[in-house]
Amino acid sequence: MKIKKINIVIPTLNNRVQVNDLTHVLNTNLGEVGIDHKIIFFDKGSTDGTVEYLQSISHEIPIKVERLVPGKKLNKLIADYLTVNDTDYVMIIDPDYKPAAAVCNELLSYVNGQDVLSPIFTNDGVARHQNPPVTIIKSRVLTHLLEVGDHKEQIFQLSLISYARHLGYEVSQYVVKEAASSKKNLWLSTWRLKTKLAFAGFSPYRLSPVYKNTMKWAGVHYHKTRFITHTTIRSQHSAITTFSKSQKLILFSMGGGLLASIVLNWRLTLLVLFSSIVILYFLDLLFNVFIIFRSLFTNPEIVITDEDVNSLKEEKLPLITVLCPLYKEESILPQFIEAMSSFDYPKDKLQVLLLLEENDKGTIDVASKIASPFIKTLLVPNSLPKTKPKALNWGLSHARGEYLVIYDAEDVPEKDQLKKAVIAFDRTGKDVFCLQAKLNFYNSHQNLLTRLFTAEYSLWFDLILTGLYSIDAPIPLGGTSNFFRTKDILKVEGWDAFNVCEDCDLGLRLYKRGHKTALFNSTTFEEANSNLNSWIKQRSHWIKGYIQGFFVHIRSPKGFMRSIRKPHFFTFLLVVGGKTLSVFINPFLWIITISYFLFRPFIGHLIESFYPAPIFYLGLFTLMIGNLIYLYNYMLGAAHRGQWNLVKLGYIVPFYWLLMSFAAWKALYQLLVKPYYWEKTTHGLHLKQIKAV
Amino acid sequence: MKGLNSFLDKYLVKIITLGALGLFAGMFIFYFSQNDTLLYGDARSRLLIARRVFDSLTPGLTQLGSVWPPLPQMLTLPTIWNNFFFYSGLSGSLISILSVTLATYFLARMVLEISKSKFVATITVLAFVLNPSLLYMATTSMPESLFISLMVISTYLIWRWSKTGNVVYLPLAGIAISATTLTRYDGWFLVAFSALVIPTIVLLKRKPFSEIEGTFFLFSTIAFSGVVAWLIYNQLIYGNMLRFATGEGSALTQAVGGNSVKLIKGNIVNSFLIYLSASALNVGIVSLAVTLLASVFAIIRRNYNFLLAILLLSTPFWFNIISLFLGQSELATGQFVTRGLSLYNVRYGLLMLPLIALGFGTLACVLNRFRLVVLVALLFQLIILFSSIPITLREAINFNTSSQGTEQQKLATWIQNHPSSGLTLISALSNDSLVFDARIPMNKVVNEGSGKYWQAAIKNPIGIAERIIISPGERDSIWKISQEKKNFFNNYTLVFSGVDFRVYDLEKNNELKATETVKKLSAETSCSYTIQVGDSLWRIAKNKLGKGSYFTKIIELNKDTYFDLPIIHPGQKIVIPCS
Repeated sequence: MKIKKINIVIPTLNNRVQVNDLTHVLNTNLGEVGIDHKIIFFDKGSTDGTVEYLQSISHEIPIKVERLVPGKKLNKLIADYLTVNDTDYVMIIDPDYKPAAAVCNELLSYVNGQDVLSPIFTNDGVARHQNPPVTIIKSRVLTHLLEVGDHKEQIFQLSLISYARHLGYEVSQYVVKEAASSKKNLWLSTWRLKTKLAFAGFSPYRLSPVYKNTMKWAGVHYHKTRFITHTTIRSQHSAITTFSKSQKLILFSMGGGLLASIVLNWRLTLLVLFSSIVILYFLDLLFNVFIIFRSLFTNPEIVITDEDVNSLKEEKLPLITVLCPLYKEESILPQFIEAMSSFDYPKDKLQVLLLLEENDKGTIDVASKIASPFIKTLLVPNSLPKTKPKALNWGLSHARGEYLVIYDAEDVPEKDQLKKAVIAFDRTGKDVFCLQAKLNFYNSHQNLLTRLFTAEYSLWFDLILTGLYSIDAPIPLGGTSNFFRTKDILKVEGWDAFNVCEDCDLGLRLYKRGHKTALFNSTTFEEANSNLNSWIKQRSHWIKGYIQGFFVHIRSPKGFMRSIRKPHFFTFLLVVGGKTLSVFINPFLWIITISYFLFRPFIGHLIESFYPAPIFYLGLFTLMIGNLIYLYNYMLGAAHRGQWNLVKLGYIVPFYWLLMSFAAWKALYQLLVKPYYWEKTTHGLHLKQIKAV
Repeated sequence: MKGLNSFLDKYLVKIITLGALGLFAGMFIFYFSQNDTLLYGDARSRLLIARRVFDSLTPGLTQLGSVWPPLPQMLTLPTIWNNFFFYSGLSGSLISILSVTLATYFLARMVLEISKSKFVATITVLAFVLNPSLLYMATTSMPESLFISLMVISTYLIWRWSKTGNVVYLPLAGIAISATTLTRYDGWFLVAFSALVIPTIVLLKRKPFSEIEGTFFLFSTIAFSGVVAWLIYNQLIYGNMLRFATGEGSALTQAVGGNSVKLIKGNIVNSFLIYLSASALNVGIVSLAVTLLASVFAIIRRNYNFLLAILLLSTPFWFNIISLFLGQSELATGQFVTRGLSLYNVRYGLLMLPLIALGFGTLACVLNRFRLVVLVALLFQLIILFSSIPITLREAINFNTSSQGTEQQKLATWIQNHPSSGLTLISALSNDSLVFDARIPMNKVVNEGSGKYWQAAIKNPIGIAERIIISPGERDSIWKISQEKKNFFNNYTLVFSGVDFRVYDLEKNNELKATETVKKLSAETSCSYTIQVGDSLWRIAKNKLGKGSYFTKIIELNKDTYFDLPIIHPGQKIVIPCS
């Protein structure tokens, strides 16, 4: 890579003699290689006429002189200058070092895309503790370094390099022939710097998009890693940090408080703890019943009839972009292509983008064989994090459609879904940013697991989400079949690449920014996970995402409180927080309950002593009637969708809940150990079965 | 005129309901001023049962007992603690008034929605609310009003489900029906019947088997929950799941003595006839004829909406006939005499009223052009019914003016003039209403529900009771015991002697002894202990008895007082063995 443009930064203090040579040599050298350059001197108050001299030659050589006013730091000055004058690289030179110009030349010849370049002097044993006289740094990196560190002037360049290394940038050092000039040992400053770095915690550093007005190549630098997410969502609204600093503080102090109160009075502590759990469960129960019955009575979804669909004029239909992120989906891809091709929608008004990962050879092979004018493959550039939302963001920046929709590879949407969505958008207000179609399964009868899963989806999408919509509450989206106006989704900055449930997160973000999600009467059929292991993986993935979403959105809960009449912060707490929390607690409550009835003579009194009388009766109610109602909800969900043979399975739903809890604990473990790890769900298991038959 | 029409379209049901509420409230004031609302012994018994949850020697939810389904009594709990609401019977009357108002609302809605005719809806409601038997029952603490209301609501919801296909009505109907099962045992018949009817409707709609099965589960899971809960309660508290049916005081054990049983039990024709005549006494012969005619028309015209409602509302008819046939209940309508009464349980005929009201509506709907004839028939029927005292009131008066009833009133006055300072032993199963009439303080009554006091008293009453009240006869458990123990009444003087009641008082020199024994019993080699915050039975047993596992002894001592042990609450007083 050849440098086209460079800024040269030279801090000076009474360097009248040195700058003369340095300036001329540099100017000549760079001119010969054809690099566009500008030399900027930051003068720290010279009294030997350095500034005056430089100003006198500034008409023949591209020079700029900045005087350092007291109180303003070198850091800040350079940073300010860089934001105005953008170049690829910046070279920092110490003019006290006599052979600087020669070293500069040599170092420049090594530039090949590295983040930081600095010299090593072979003939000097103490070079490690020296401030290098010349450093070449990428402008973007320098901006980052200047922002995060307070670099001391006497070890300015050393400090920059140390920070760069600590933040994970690529630092290349090259052996140069020139001798080091100064033998001054800076070990004390170096040691200080190292100690400081060892204890420094760096916040995620935002990398702006390369091009204006798009989010392409935007990303974030965090924990020595550079993440390209193609979205400009700020880190505090992203799951890049699972817990923010203050959240960690609160969680630790809560844990500490709990521990302390257990030590002080464990009985009272447990009593309060159990009471709060019972009250939480009871509230959740009431809310659930309210939502479901509201849904059943009012049928709040947007209903588009067949006549509406038939009366659409085809020539007036808008262009729709379909985004389908794929990873190792070669076996299911033909089914998806079939589903896309059979849409009742003019194909010239469809832009189907198959988002493929660069390293996913298998799917790329299959996809490249597809010859279809409206289905295009789009390679997602290799970068971290490798997640579905990142692929979606990349796809978003290539979307041409007025509307945009997400499908998973295994999805089979109803044929008129696109038309219905177009009509639904026309019918709703501009504040509806997202239309969610309902999800269900095409392989519900494969085995017991898929049957239970189906009942759950019927309950969740058909009754609970529609109920939430009817009270204008935040809706956690379901991963696929979300329709947006492309301009709207750009406005809300796409998907959070770090959240493993980007759908849930987006739904909440939409709500907090004052937009709505509506449901309409169309269904996309998916593949229900038929393998227990695979199901647990998928579920722990979702639960992980919900936890991430909860902690991201509780950082700024104000957006949930739209008005006094809609205090949906509490809905958020119940639907995202309470629902997830209860999955964790459930098994313990069941263990307590079962052992209470089995071993009542031995431990009965102990268990009861944790519950004050009203709480005990409330708990008993929630346990007996409440659990009945919870499993009955599944029966209602299945019946509402006409899946009558699933109704009786309501009685074994408690076992399904046990599986959920298992997945939840697995999720918590993963969240703490590898937060962005994406559990891949294997699709196409239903195809294998069909083949076997 | 047009304005009025659209006004009525919008508000008819509300106007009817408000009107009905006004009417029932007015009737309450009327009967209350006549001192008629508490004439039924059962009305008073039910109030007593509810009251005992708060106020008795051994308070607690177990006082709801297992003889009667608990819902009517439970609904009075919010007001029953108050003396005015309790002794005036308003606690129960309020529930009845609200119930029949609700029934009116749902009856009006259902018929209006089926027939789309304001006339039909109005005539149905008139036939319902203007029935004198109902107007009296709605002012009492009897459970019939609540049952009628829940039955009408269940019918409305099931009909609504069959009409709209919206599954939401199945759980709602399930809730209403499980409430009926907890109101009267007739509800158990209704729930079984509906669980058959509902899948049949799906079958008739020619839906696949899976839908029949799914609908059945969706409905039954909720509808049978009341029955299941009642069985579990009986099992947990009494160790006998079927105690309500076979145990002390159940209808089975009660319905043995009457001579009418001999004629009715096992005789289907007599069972049918006697229930028919009870119905006729409540709703009138014309009404029965109208209903029969309406049902025939509904079948001929294939008006399935009306048919379904008629079918569901007819369950009390079938239930009562079967129940009489099996000897599970007794009924006397004047032809036979039961327990010395010529009118006994005639009020069961009132349960036919929603069906009758619907019959008038149905006929008015199918006869369309001749619907005024139906109105005339209704008016004619009402005139006949109003020309005499309502049969439900007559039944109550009949009891109170019977030799037993008059003697009870006489005794009540006597007791009020000669109150006993100590505890009174009296059977709740036979003489509960006397406790109410005589205003005996409820914490000075020892009866079958008094746990250890009862156990001690029937062994040897001297230590416990200063007064024993019995009414000779099989129903009185004390009388039965006194027959077995010849010296049961030694040391007692007969102070009141009638045909149906006898009162024994402890002889003066023994009174002191009684007080002491009672004290001893309430302490009984045991000390009182007040639960502190953070206590567990284990901890108490360990501190006071030396070993944590002795907490079972504490449970043993307190189990009759507190059914929910070992749950303890701070401030609760329990007894523990004195160490």
